[in-house]
Amino acid sequence: MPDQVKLKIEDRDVTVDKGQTILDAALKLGIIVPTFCWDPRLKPIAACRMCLVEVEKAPKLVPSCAVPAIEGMVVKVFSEKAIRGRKAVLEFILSNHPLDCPTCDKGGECILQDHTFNHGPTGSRTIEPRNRTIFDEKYKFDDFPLGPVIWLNMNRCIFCFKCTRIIKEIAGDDDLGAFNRGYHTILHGHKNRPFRSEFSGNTVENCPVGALVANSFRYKVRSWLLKKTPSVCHLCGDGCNITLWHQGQKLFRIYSRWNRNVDNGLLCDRGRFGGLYADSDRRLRNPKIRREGKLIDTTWEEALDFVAGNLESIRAKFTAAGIGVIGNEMLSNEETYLLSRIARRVIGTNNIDFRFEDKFTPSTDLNLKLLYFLVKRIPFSKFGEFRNHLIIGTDTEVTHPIMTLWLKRAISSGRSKCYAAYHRKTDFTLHPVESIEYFPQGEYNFLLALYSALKGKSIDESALASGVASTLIQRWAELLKGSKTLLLAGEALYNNPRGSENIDLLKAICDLLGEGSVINIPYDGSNYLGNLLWGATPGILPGGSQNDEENRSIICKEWKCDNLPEAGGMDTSQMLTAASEGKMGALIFFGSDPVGFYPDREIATKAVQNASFKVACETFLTETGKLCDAVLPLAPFPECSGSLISSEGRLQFFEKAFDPAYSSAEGWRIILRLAQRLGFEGDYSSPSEIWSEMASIADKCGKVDYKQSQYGGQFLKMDFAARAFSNLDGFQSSPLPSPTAEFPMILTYGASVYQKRNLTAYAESMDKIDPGPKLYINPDNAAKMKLYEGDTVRVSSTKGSLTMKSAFDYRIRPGTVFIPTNFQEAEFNSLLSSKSDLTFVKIERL
Amino acid sequence: MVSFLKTVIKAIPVGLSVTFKNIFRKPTTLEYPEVKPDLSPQYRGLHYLARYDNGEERCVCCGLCAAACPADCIYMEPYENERGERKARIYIINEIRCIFCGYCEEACPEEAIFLGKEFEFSKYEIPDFIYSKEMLLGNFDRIEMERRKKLGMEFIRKTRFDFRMPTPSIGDSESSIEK
Amino acid sequence: MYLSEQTRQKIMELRDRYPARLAAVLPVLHLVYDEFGYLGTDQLDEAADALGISRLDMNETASFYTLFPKHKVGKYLIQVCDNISCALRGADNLVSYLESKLGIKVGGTTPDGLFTLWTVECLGSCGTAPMMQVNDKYYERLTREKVDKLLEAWRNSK
Repeated sequence: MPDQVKLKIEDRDVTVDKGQTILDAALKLGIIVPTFCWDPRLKPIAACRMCLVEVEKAPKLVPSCAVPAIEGMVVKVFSEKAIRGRKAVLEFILSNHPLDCPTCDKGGECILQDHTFNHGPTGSRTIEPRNRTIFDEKYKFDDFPLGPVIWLNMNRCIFCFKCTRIIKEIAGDDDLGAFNRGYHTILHGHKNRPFRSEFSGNTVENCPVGALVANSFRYKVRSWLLKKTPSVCHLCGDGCNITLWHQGQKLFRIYSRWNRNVDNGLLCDRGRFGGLYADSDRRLRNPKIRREGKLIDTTWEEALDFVAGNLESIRAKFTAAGIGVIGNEMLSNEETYLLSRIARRVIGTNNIDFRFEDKFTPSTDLNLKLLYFLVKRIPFSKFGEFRNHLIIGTDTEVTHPIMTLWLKRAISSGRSKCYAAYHRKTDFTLHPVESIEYFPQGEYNFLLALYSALKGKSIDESALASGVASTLIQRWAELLKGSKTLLLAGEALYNNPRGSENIDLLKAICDLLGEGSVINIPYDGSNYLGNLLWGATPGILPGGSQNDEENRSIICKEWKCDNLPEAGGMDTSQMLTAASEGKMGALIFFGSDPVGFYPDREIATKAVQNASFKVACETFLTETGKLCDAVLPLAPFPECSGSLISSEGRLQFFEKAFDPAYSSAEGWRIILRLAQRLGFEGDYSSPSEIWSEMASIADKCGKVDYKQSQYGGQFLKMDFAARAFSNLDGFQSSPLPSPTAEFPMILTYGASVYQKRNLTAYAESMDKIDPGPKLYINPDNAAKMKLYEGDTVRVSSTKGSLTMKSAFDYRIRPGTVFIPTNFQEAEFNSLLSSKSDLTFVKIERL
Repeated sequence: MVSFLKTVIKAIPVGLSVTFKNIFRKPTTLEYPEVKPDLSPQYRGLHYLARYDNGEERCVCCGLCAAACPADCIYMEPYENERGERKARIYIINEIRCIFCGYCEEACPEEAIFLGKEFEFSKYEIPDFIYSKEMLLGNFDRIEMERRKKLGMEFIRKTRFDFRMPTPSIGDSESSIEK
Repeated sequence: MYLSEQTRQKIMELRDRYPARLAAVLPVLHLVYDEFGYLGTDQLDEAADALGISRLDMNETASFYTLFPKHKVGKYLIQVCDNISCALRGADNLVSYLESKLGIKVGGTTPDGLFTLWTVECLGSCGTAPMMQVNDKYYERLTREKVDKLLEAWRNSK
């Protein structure tokens, strides 16, 4: 075999691919060579010299991590010379190491400790004082905050440069560099800028010593006291595999649990530090019910009886259609299924939805259209096979940070190019991306322009309506034409008044591009897909089939009932509108907070106030919960078991790390107990029992093959029928309303990169990373308005006004402003109205 | 009867000889509350947490004593003090669980925890045996005061070890072995 | 705009000479140094933008080379070797003599902006110790008289 080489390591033969290093070959034989700076994801730099091995005929010891294996090489890992060499390297590394292990948070899990124990010298020969890098006399132990969440102790650093390489090579940020050389090396950002990468936590996890420490873990607990529980991150649709480190009922930190197919050992700061919200002491502790106008603590028995009794009387008064259930996309499959079952079978209503952050959620028809794309979707690990990546309608760095890393990996391999169109600039810092910024809500016009350009038709009109130069779209059409492209369709496409047309256009564009082009729908939400497939929308039944006569009868047989409610339930917008007019009897909010997040605060507040009875089940007391008649404490993800289907279509099970803290309860248990009080006869003792029932339903009428479940998450096979895509000939560009003189700016809103809804704001570190609501504005616009960063501004629309601090972001399209939705105190949705598509605002400096 | 008397007459002096022998010996028992026992230098009694000369506590709350403890009787929680140092916010020893093996003393890298010579700390309530950090530091203060009184010194400048090295170095004591 | 058009042109030429753009960093550092006599962050940022690499990489690399001054230095950068050979031949005396003569400490610049005094590691001229490098020129077998003469000459030549 020409592209394979055979070598001898420790008198054992091994054959490896050409280009692989001696270390790879040794690992293949199961020989562990100690390393510090080696990481399979990074390019070798041989900085630490810990992996020195002896190679016959080589004059010196060679670093095995960087030297490629050569035919006929004879390598000795454990020869006396090699052992002595490694010992000398360790002695050298330790000559300036402060040995403050008792106060170092890495103590007990430190690779330097392990290597010193196994390979190191028994004593020190130096008597000179050790090198100290003093940042600030105030800090006695020379710890220094490098950024909002990361602390640095340069004395402990052994100069493996894993941190800078992870940030530069993998995350593609230019936040952290190693300056100066030798023992004077200091890590900091360019011009001493704070270290604010969205992936900064990975440096802490991968630091072999305690040089980089997370603020949230510093001086908290010793690592050997913690138990580890494998889990899955709930804060975005990527489904990263995580390990929860906890002691008793306290969650201390979240580390990655390597899954080569999903996260490759990396986590974003939202998952790593934001996930610690579960440990907040501001959580709801007891069930509360409203007595004499006040929410008072009570017992579970009393609260559930109160809720069930009220729901019974409402059902008698309004019929079952007067009850609505609003879940959220973070619920596990089991919880969703139970919620769907209690709504359809026990209460007898089709009014169930899980989306509450958008006005224009996809209709059943559009959902089924979107589900069809899942049949041919591409796993993250195969992104590199595509020549081009076209992202439309989302900022993947915000919605899917880890998927973005796969995109960046594809870009940095040099074989792929990335194109992104959104209403703000997409910038992967060190990885080149071509970005187009269209008008907010301009997706339809942009897609039409791109489609026409690919077809060779005139695009002037639609390009003008989308706010993009027509030459730019022409250029993209030329570049994309005929190449194998992965289209990533963001939520702005389908959460859109023209969602259906957008998807038709997208399909047409995909067909016009090169062979093998595929559309991926990266849903935003840890279990958006699971919620769709397990019946949390009016039009889709558990199992993922359409809510029609035939499928209903199959489900009826499974659920042992005569009939299910006819199709035609209401989605969140309809429910809230109906409720605000006083037409709804009861609303059940399961982890959802429409008052805080529905893009019309007035309607949502009215809806909750006007409904006769409303109950909220949530982890933290939300704006909605404050208005409800009963509030039930829901346990956050470390305290629940279940399964999730990530946006990639991967089914992953997770186990609870410990029992729910305080008086909170797991979601499925709350739903079950409530259902039993409403006349449900079944009983389950664990989510796995629910799952086995779900599996039998999926077997009969499901479109998804759940059978081969395996460790690490199964990439589900899906079988959705194609839907009819409409003829595009009649599509005309539709100019959007333009801002008025009084309200000159367009308001855009969305999640901030570090936050998930308002949950992560309860995590301790998040106060520092992302301290509060800000109005993001393009510097050019700000300069015209003579606005400086940090000024207090008043934003007002026709609906209301808000006061907040301003911040500059060059990525915001000129003429628009951006407000992150994650801060309850900001009440961003009081500016919005459900009647109009776009919101225009004016900015005044106070 | 005669034989019986013979045995008795023989036995009395034998038995009394033991008595007479021991009358002139030093007694092995102590009149305990009035007279205190002479403890072995290795005796391991009530714990104390040592301080530096300037009165600052030595313990940095590294958790090694708790890790070494076979009876699992030590619990601690660290915090960051105003100078950025790691110190114990909570440090608890449950003396009723403690088996006085002295492993904590062995494990301590900062020479902070010691087992003293005190053994008279009986209490009426079990919760009273849970010694907090303040109590353990108080033990040290008491012992230190006694020691100073005994040595007739108002002030002791140097303790047995000098811990105020600028930076610690690996295995100083072992460097001779390496050579 | 710090860089002159000429330097910018040269950087553009270097851009595609090597397979990787990072390989051109060192020649670019020399170009910037030749123009300004030191490598300031602002100049480096501009050079990085012209070369098309990250500003961070450029600054990191520059900081690695202690031989490049990072701040504005005097017209004459006096670098005295204080390694073993020179030290044995009295480099310490030379440094303290220069310090007293110029009225500055090691690392400082005279108020008139004429001299900057540095001590550096071995310059490879051990046979002619003690020695110093001023800008690009070596001055060897130094004595007090020689130093006086040199300083006088530089002072007058301004």
